[in-house]
Amino acid sequence: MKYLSSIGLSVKDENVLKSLIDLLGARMSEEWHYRDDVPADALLLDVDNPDAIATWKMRPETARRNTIAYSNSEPGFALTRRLAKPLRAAELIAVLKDIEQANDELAVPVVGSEATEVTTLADCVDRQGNGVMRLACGDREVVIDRSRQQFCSSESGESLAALLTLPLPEYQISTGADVRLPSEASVRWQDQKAVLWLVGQCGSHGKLLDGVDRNGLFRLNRWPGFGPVRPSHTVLSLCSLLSRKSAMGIADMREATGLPEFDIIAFINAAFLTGILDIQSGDVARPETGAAKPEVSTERKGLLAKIRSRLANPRT
Amino acid sequence: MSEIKIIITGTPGAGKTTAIAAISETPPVRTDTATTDELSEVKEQTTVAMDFGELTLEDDQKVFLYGTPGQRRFEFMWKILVQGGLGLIILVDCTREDPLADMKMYLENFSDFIAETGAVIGLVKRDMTDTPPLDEFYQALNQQGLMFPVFEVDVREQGDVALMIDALVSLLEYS
Ligand SMILES: Nc1nc2c(ncn2[C@@H]2O[C@H](COP(=O)(O)OP(=O)(O)OP(=O)(O)O)[C@@H](O)[C@H]2O)c(=O)[nH]1
Ligand SMILES: [Mg+2]
Repeated sequence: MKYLSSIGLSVKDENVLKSLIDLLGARMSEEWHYRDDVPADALLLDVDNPDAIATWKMRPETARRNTIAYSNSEPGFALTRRLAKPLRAAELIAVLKDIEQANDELAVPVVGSEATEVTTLADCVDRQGNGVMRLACGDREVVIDRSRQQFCSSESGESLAALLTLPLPEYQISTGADVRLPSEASVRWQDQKAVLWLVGQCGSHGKLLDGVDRNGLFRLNRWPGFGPVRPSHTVLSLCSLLSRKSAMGIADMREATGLPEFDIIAFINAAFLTGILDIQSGDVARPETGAAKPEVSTERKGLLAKIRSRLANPRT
Repeated sequence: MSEIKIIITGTPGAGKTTAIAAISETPPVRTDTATTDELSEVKEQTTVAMDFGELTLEDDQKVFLYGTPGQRRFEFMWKILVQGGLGLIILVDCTREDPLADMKMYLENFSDFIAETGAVIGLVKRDMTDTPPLDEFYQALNQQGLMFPVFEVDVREQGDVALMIDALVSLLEYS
């Protein structure tokens, strides 16, 4: 038994697809059914529909295997399997047979083993790509509109950070056309960078984003804009470290700062999500760090710490 | 022990005196005088020697904040002023004709000092204009092989001035 599902099809297309599937019968080596509620063996994605793409990107890797791009013209979207609109039985059969065959060739299916699941808010936002996404918990909400590069929220400052710290299952998440936007009059849209930074900082839970190479070398191409939230000492230290001429790996960052990996990963994810991180492959020969500045003396570190502490306690 | 000082520079009217006033425990020792030349249309007062403010640390050690005189005819003083300094804050007035050129001029003039210490760039008066875009400042820095923080700040706000000093202190420790 094999299952086919779809994302973003018009009602008409979806009905056509369902009836075609029912008609396939003996023409396929396996029995195919249209189902939305079980892991699908093949997925038809309307790539002319940006919201559908956004929804698709949030699906775990395993669910995105065997996606068929369904479009009017050549899609600007790299998927190996595609079907042109409108749906035709012969073409659908050909592509599903191809999927059956490809699966047979895999002696042991990789489902769930290597493939990474979306387990954190940071992952979820990262995968969402260019569409609209709403995260809600009770009456608290955040709407991020990636295509317009802005966000709005019922929360601000520390309470926004707190909202973004929850484990993923706590949120009600809607995307694309399903998002009910708050009424224009009542919301204040702000630059999305502020919320993306917080998603990385608060919503990473120690897990590096999929797009980030664990063994990579990192460098900032600019500093984050901190907005109204004053950056912590941890964040400023990591910004400074990644401003050096030569890029640094996670282990180097730990050694230089003594910070836990959890904090370093949160920082890297935040920098990645806001587009200020350059990543080099860790395989390339390490540049000589011979010209590095001399170690900062303990006395000097003490002085800098005192200045920092003075700044944290403003006198009026 | 030698004096601990942070230097704030920038074009006339960028807000050096204002920044020091915002964070210093003592009112800045102003050496302002009435403007006479072309600047008088813009400002009534300008700093002719330097501004000076201070912060007291927990063990009563002092950190001094020095504002350089903005006008270029005081350029000779800049080098003297930075001797032994901890680092540099460059304020760039974005309402001027060519803020990028202003930044480059200060980076060049203080290049030896910056190479030994570090610098933070504060873009001021962003409420009056949002050009040039932030990215262009980073590109300009990058062209000179530099990577310093560039912040949009309001130097009348103590928190914004504190952020620049905080970032400078981190740079000195980690970059
Ligand atoms: N609108 C606006 N005004 C600002 C901002 N920052 C500073 N100012 C104003 O700009 C002026 C800066 O003046 P000063 O602090 O005397 O400048 P300075 O750098 O000491 O100038 P010189 O001593 O002449 O070199 C003050 O009137 C500030 O109130 C800002 O972000 N927005
Ligand atoms: Mg002044």
